[in-house]
Parts: sequence; C-alpha cells; structure tokens
Amino acid sequence: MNDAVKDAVKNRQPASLIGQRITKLDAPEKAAGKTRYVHDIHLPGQLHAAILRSAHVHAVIKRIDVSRARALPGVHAVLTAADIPGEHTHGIVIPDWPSLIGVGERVRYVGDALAIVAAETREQATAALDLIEVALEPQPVIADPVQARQIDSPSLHENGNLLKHIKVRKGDMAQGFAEADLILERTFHTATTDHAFLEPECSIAQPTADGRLYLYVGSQIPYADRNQVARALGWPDERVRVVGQLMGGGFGGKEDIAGQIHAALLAQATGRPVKLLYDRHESLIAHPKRHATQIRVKMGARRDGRLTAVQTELYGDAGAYASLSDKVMTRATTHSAGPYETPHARADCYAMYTNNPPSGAFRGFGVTQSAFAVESMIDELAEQLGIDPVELRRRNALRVGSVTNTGQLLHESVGLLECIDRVDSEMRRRAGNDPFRARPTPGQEHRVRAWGFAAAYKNTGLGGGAPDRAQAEVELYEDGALEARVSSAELGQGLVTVLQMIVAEEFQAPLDQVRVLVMDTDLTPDGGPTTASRQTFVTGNAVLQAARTLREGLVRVLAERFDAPPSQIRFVEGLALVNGHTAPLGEVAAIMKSEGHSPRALVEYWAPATQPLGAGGDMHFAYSFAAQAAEIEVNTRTGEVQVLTLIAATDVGKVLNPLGLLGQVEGGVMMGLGNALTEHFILEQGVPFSDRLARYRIPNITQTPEIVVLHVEHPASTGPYGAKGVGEIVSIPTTPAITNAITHATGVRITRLPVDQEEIALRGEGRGR
Amino acid sequence: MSTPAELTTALPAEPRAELTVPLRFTLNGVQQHTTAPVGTSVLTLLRDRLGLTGTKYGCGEGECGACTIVVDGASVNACLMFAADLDGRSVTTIEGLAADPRARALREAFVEHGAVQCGFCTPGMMMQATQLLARCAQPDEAAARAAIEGNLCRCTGYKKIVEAIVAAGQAPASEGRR
Repeated sequence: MNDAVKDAVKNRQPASLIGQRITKLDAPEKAAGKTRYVHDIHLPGQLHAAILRSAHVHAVIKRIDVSRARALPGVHAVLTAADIPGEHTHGIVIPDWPSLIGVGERVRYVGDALAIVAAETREQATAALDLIEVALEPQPVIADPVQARQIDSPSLHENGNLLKHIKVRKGDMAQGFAEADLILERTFHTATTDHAFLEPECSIAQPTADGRLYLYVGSQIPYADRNQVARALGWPDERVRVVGQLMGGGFGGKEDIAGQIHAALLAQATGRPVKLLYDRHESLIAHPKRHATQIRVKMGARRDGRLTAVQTELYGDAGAYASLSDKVMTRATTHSAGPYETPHARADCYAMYTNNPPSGAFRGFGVTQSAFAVESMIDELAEQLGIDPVELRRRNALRVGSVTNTGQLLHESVGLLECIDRVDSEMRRRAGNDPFRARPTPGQEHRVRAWGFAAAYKNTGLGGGAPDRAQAEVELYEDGALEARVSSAELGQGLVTVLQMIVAEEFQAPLDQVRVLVMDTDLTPDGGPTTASRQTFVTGNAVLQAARTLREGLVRVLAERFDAPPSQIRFVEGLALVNGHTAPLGEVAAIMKSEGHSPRALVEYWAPATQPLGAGGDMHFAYSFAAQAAEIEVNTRTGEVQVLTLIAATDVGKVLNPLGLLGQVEGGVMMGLGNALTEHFILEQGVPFSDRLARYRIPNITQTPEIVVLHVEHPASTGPYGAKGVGEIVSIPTTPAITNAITHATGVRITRLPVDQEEIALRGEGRGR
Repeated sequence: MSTPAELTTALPAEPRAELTVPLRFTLNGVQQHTTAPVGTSVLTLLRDRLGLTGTKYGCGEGECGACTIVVDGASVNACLMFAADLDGRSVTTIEGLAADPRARALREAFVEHGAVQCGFCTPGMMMQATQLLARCAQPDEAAARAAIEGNLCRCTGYKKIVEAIVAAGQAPASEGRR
C-alpha cells in the first residue's frame, strides 16, 4: 500500500468524486485520433451502398425500372419497396415513414428513398443509381404549416395534414386579459435548422454465420434501431444486434432511422457486409430538422409587471413524416408561457405535415423556438411598462410553490431566481446600472453596443406520462475492475464519464478501475433513448442503484465471511475494509463467486411517474432553469452583429463534473448563437438550398464570445446526488438574450430567426452615429 | 462540371475505374510507393487505400476542416487535394503525431482542458495546433484562435480548444515528459 492509500484507510473518510473536475474517459484516444467511428470500420468483403432519392418534393410513383442498374458490373443488389420482407414503414412515435417508396405510392419530400444499391465500390453503387428509371407524377407542394392547414390543401397522409393539435388550458383567458393594464400581441417566426453534427451518418450491416445481423451504427437509441431494423426484416428483435459506436455528435439528429434499415436489407439480400455512408449532401437533405415555427403570443400584464394572461398559437412544420413532432411540439407548447407563473394561460399548437424534410428532435426540443417568442415579448412588455427587464422577469419567475401553465405545483429544485440574480449582478458589475441602453462604441463609427437578457426552463426526462426507465448492470471482476453496462449513447456529451464517476464514487474505487460499456444491444441492458436531457438523471440513477445493489451484495458476503456487522464494512481506494482486514475488490469478487454469488447487479430504474398533458399534476419530474445575458456590438451600416460577452447561469441541481458541465454550457451557448445569427436551412418550395455545409453556416471560432459560466445548484431530491438535466437548457436562452440585445442596441425588434442583417442595417441606422 | 462530348465518349464504361497514376511520397516519415485513380482525393487515398482513418470525412468540400493534414509544412484539407498531386511531397497525418513532443503536450492539454467532446473535429484541430506550435512555441489566445479559423467544432464552442492550445505552449519543455 502506498502512503495515500494508508492514509485513506486509516482515516476512513473517503473523498467524494462528485463535483470534482474529472477529465473525459474517452478523451485521450480521441485526442490521438485513435477512436473508431462507424465510417472507420472496414469489414472483409464489405460492399458499399447508395440510395436513389426522390429529388421530387411531392409526386406519385408510376414506375421504377431497376433492370439496367442490376446489370451493371460490380452491382450485387438493387432493391425497391417490393423487396422489403417485413414492415415497410418506420418511426419512433408513429411508424409512418416508408423505408422505400413503392410504385403507386407517394414521395413526400426530396429525401424519400426509391431504391437502394449494393456494389463492390461506392463509385459503382453511385453509378448504378443513374441507370434506374423512374416515372412519376408531380403533385402540388405544401411548403409551410400554415398552408398545410388550409382547407383546400391536398392531404399528404391518410388522416390529413394535421399531425396533432396540442392544447394547454389554465384559468380563464377572458378574465386574464380583463385584468391586464397592458396587452401585447406579436407573431414570431423561427427557421428550419440542422444539427450539422460533424460526423455524417454511417451504418454497416453484417450478416453472421448463425443467421443473425450485426449493425454497427452511431445511434442515440440502439434498442429502437434494433426493433425497427428487425421489423423491416420480419425478424424477432433478438436476431439483430446493434453494436453502437461512438458518435461524432448527435444533438437529437441521430434518433431516427437514417440508413440502418437500408444497410440491413442489402446485407440480408447479398449475404455480405454492407456499408452505407451518407455524404454531407445526403445527410443534410435526408435527416430530420429542427421545426420551423410560427408563434403568435398575446400577453397581458398589470402595471406592476405581473402577468395576468399568456395566450399562444403555434404552427410547427413537421415536414413529411411524424418523427418526434408530436413530442417536440408538445414541449414547445407547454413551455410557451416561459418560465413564469401566470394565472391564465392557453396555448394551441398545430403540428402540420408538409413536403419539407421531416422535423424531429434537436437540442432544446421545441423549447428553443417558444423561448425566443416569449422572451422577446417579455422584453417588450418591460419596455412598454417602464420596468427593468430583469426585474420584470424576477417578479414573474417560477419559484417553489408556483403552479406552471400545465397545472404542475413546483415543490422543489427551482433555481430560476438565483440564475437571474447571478447573471444580473455579473452583468451590472461589468456594464454598470444601465446595461440595456445603447452605447456607441468609442472611437468607432457606426458601431453600437448593448446587453440583452433572457431566461428559460426545460424539462428533464420524457414526462407527459411516458414510462421513463433505464436498466443498468454493474459487475465486479476478479482483476478488481468494475464495469457499468447500459445501452445509453455517448455522443460526445460525456455520459460515460459521468457513469464512471458514479460507480467509482459508490465503491470509493479509483476512476481507472471503472470501465463503462455502452450502446450494444447484446451486451448492455436498455437505458432508453438518449434524449430529453435524461441520461445523467435516468441512466445515472440506474447505474447508481445497480452499484449500490452490488455493493450491498459484497457487504453481505463479507459480513458473513469475516463475521462482521455490515455497518462496519467500508470501501476505500479500491479496497474493502472489514474487521481490520483489507481485501482488494478483485478478491471480494472471488469470494462472492466461491460462495455461489454472482458479483454483478442488474436493476431497472423507474423515474418518478408523470402525468399526461391536460391531466394536471406533475407533467415532468424535474426542470432545469437558466438565465443568460449577452453583450453585442452591431455595425449599423452593415447590420453585422458580434456577440462580445455571454454570461450564463444554469440550475443543474448538482454539478457532478464541472469540466463536463463547462463543455455543455459553452457548446450549448454557441449553438444558440448560431440559431440567432446564422443558421438557416433554406427551403424553396420543399427544395433545399442549404444542401451542403458551405450553405449552412454554423458558428466558427471568430464568432465565439467571452463566455462566463455560473453554476447554480438547487438539488432535485430524486436526481443522482441531486443532479438534473443539462444538455438542452444551456442552449435555450442564448438566442433571445442576443436578439433582445440587438433590439436594445438598434431599436429594431427581432421577430424572425435567424436575424436579418439587412433589416438591422436598414432600420437601425439612427443609433450608431 | 460539364465535360466535352468527345471526352465523355472516350471514357471507359466504368467511370474512373482504371485511370491510375503512380505515386511516390513520404507519409508520416515513411516512403510510399502506390498508385491512385486520377480523380481520387488525398482523403480517400489515406482512409480507404492506406487505412489511416484518423483523418475524418466531414463535408468533402473544405468547409469543416475535419480532414486537415500537413503537406510540406502547410495544413491542407485532404478532401480538396487530388491524390495525384502528392507525388514527391511529404505528408503528416494525425497518426504521424504519435511521437511528436509538441503533439504530446497538445494531447495532454486537450484532455486536461476538456477540449474534446465527440472528438470528430479533434484530429483536424490537433493538426492545426501542431502546425501553430511549430511556428510559434508559445502562442497567445489570438494566435490560437487564428490557427483554428478553418476548423469547425459543433460540441465545444471552441473556448476549451483555444485554452488547450495556449496551455500546451506554456507546458514545461516537452522533451523528457512522460
């Protein structure tokens, strides 16, 4: 034993890992370029796949002739809808998305697949696509959700174009507006945006000698992939094994099927491994986007700034297929009164099918859009009432004891006021007492600066009555290694490090004694989808429970073996301490085995129950809160906006790893900045203009401001060590903090995203002189 | 891109298949003798023919920088360069940085400062940063920011990457470090 261990053993006061700055488990390999992503895998005998996509926005297929393509040298299979042995459609919520569009069927967006090819080389597969003859009959295009709801619009799906009408009802709107001294009404528009994860989608399907199929893919929901691939093949789920690989980013964009089924069908047809790589163009046109929305907000307030009523009407562009639109637009709707208490609230959302690419999950999950609308309105309300915008937010902010617009009484873990106060004092420390006044930049013509402020909240977990659970397994090996196993996904957000910390914490074992296995449906139990900022909370709790269950098992065995009371048994530095004996954990595993016990524990954790929307009660088991302030500089001649400083405070319940949290905040802020200023997936009558990265501008280093990160901790009693979700909330207030700052600097009210530089230059010219 | 009709008809039925050029170049310090189809990019050559998959495909059009490599001392997007143009040149990829002391300091700093999230932009960032440290042993923040202007990262917000690059320059002399 070295001295440190001796000291630790003697003192028996283990230091907690929780809250310590821990470097990422997977970072050393990634920094060396050694990490294997799907595209880096090459299987012997591997074929390459290519997909013939519609290119037409809306049409009925009359004929598909693949005979010439099949005859091309090197081509092993050309498949159409008629060749699918199992179910023809997929989808996580509603299975309405055809894997291939057959003759007589309808293409509903440019990315719809008509035929798939497997060939010896990627070039041959691509060349074969040109030989496929398709006859189709173009149909009128539905380009936006408002048009989709018009009575004379053609129906894109059997049940019409309305995917879902989502309603929030609280109090009495007539009374609420009657009580108001001021009523404001305004309509906002947000753009379709893309995740632009740096790693394009790739799937490799491999038939095995025993008649199964292995699928190598970077997926946020490995078990959902397994189920959807198995259904397409007409197989039981267990015959498919998803071997998930580390992902080059996901952000919600790798939840839906994107190539998995196609690769599997081709592998099954050819008996060979098949790699299907999307190039960036294909990735951009095919995978689901963030919903474009139109949001009308009507807000009433008393003279003192207290809200009396908030009414919203939302249109969400669901695109061609359902994907996660139901859930995303529900979140947009329930969060559309902002993180404020209002006695009367009403929201109606129409999630509409259109001929645009499907919309689905994207970090923020609908709340990004409604937060922009409501935070812009709150600022305007403050201006018209002559109240400081921070003070107005403070007066209405959700706090313990508040009832949300869905009727949920918040009984704990509401750190919003502290977030607001911390950001406010940091902002005023830098800017003085009048931060929202426009200030010409000294010595620079046509440049003007101002601050803007915004607040937000975001649920942790699925909520709305959905069963939210995760299985996890923890095992102790005879070499002393501890292993956590769960199918949850590592997209770069740092889940494996959090899980490693939790196991190390529970056994007081060194971090490097703990390994984490994820994303393999044969080897890891189902942790549920990596979505809704839920993994630290839900999977974290599952791993915590599994670790504690295993630890209790060790204690029982040790207590018996050494005739010690269980309360006297301790774990320190990878050792078990019993009655003056010390036993390395590996030895304890051997003891357990010798006594016929298995040194592992599998648990299923169920998050606290939630209620469906409309039922009142707890729609979500936890919320995270945030406030942000942005200082911007506008060039009033060009309309160019530079964000100079961004102050972000986030109530995450409990900081588990400050280094990981910093990464989430800074990355989230930059995504919110892009959403405000540059990101726009441009569609013209359903045809993407933004079909390559040069036409979709994500922020680069030149746009990165100084980012000041403040952590706020109002623990959630049911969270692991008090923690709640962080992945999404950090990105949500950024956009309105920036747009509110632009308004303060120029007088131009921003109602449309991304910000139109020309509009600022045109209308905001007066301020910079 | 349009092609004159007579050239089109002159092409073999299998596009690009057999038109290859011989290549001699230095790859991570080792002489390579190989051939490559004329239209092949350096990225494809490295990844598919030579099995060096540390260099990433992100966009194929020089926008993202995930495929950054160093050719004769200059950083290059491997997706934009024809393999045929490598003849007679010297190439370094992320795999070639394994023993480089500056790169070692950078790797440690990237890990320590949380500059790595999904890791997909990281090889390109490492190549740019190594180039920077070769030019300027102790870059300041402005120099570090300038060095990665051509490289996109969607996870980190860049701040930690800049911090890591500056810190690597401040690290004790790399020689003799573990």
